[in-house]
Amino acid sequence: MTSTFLNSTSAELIKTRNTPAFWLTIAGAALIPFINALKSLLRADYFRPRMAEDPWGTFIEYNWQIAAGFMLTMYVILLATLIIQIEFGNNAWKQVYATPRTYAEIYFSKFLILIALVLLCFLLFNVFIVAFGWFTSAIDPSYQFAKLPVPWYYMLTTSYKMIVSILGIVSIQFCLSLMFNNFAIPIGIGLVLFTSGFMIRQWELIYLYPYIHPFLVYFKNPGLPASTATNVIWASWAWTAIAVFGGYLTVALRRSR
Amino acid sequence: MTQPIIHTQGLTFGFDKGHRIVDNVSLQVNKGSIYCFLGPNGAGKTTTLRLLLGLLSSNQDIQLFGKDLTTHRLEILSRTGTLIEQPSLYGHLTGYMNLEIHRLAYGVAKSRIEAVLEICGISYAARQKVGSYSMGMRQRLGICIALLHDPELLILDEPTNGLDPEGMIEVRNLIISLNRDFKKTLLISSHLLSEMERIATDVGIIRSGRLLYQGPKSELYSVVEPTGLFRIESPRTDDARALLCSDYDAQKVDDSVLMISNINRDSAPRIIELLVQNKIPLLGAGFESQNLESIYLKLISK
Repeated sequence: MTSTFLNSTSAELIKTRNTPAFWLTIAGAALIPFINALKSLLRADYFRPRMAEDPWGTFIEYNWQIAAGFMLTMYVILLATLIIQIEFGNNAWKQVYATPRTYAEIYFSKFLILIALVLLCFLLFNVFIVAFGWFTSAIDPSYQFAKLPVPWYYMLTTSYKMIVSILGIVSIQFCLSLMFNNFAIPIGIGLVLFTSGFMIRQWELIYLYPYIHPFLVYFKNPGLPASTATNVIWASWAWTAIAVFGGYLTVALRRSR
Repeated sequence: MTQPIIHTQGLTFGFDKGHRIVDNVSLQVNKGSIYCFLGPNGAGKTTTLRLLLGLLSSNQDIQLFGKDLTTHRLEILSRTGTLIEQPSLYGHLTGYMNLEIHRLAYGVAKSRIEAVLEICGISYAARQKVGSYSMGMRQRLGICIALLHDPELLILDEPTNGLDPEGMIEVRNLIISLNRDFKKTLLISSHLLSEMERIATDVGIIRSGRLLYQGPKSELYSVVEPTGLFRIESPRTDDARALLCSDYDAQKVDDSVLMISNINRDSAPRIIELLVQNKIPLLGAGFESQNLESIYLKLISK
């Protein structure tokens, strides 16, 4: 059972080779640090004074503000659909279901690959932040990045919180993508749920709403109870559990495979 | 007594209530046979095959290898190779990688990949991306996937679809060889009758979800033949027709050919006797030769 699950997961990994899902992960992780490096270099007069006191802390914050604000959510909405579209787009579900694998194996091996890509994106995002920081100070030595230690621990803890905050959305989008063979539907639903979150941002129970979790975890939330950010963490785990179960049922109980 | 590899009892399926795509189909595919499942487009062939593989859930009496599909799904699938509708291939990967994905799913040795590529004659394109494959190459790679885990039973849906005549001959020979040399049982759906006629040992004919005929190909000819056309060749067709038209439905085709329709086997000697007694010269007489196509057309137009 374990070895067949590992085999299944390796097979799923091979399927992502050279796919839009894979390249989106690489490009998505590089985009924000790249633009921030470009901004710092082209408008050094504006950014240098702002990064004088705590260059790494400020630079990391510039990056995470964009990521936590919307890019991360957009990325996982797209990624979950792209992973599932590898099967729908190639009309391959029937062959997947005709292999002697349990529905759990089929579902969890795919879900694991999705999580692996999200983790890869986080890893690369941190790597690119550091790399583009160093790159910036190499081009313009008035930036201090190369001379100062990288705040690895801060980067790790921030990443951990953000990963947990995004898991609920990942699982829900995965479930939605399994339900519809048309890729536009899960993306559309995801975007509507995401933008709606901003409209109800001041609700005192907003931590129950998964699509705003990354935002609530990263940003200070004036007007909301102090416990909101910590409540988000368990709410996100709860949504993950519900959506993973829902996704599994979608795969196992599908009438036409 | 040959053991049935596939057995269904009154299989019925429909997506909407009231509209049955498959209606009371009792299928029996015997071990070692090449069972050709024939019917026009939309007759329910693919739906039946999907039901057999559990790709449509139905909870009905479907047995493969003598085991119930709902309770032994994984075991049945591990002994069955499939190609349903268009081959399911990942266009962004090479042929080899497509096989590797399925090799991992079935957990078979790496050497099987080279083996099936060789059997299907597509080794030369293994390192090419499947997106650039022709229809025929895709079909062959689809058969490779079906063969990968060396299954006892192959369920192939329109395996010669999109192949050129040369490709069809190759696939036909491949199917015969799989049956004869590798002892595989095959259930093949198709609407290409002349192709199926050459390879089938057994035939099932389906129309509008109902199984019209099922049995050995040889018996099919005798089932339909007695009601077939009887052809008489004579220089005096007018006289012959005048003699026969009171008792039989005799139509003159041209000056030398007369066709009698709807007669059974027993009537034939009497007709010949009557003509000979009346000194009508006979150049030839016999039932119109039946091929699968004419039988099929007769059955489905009933």
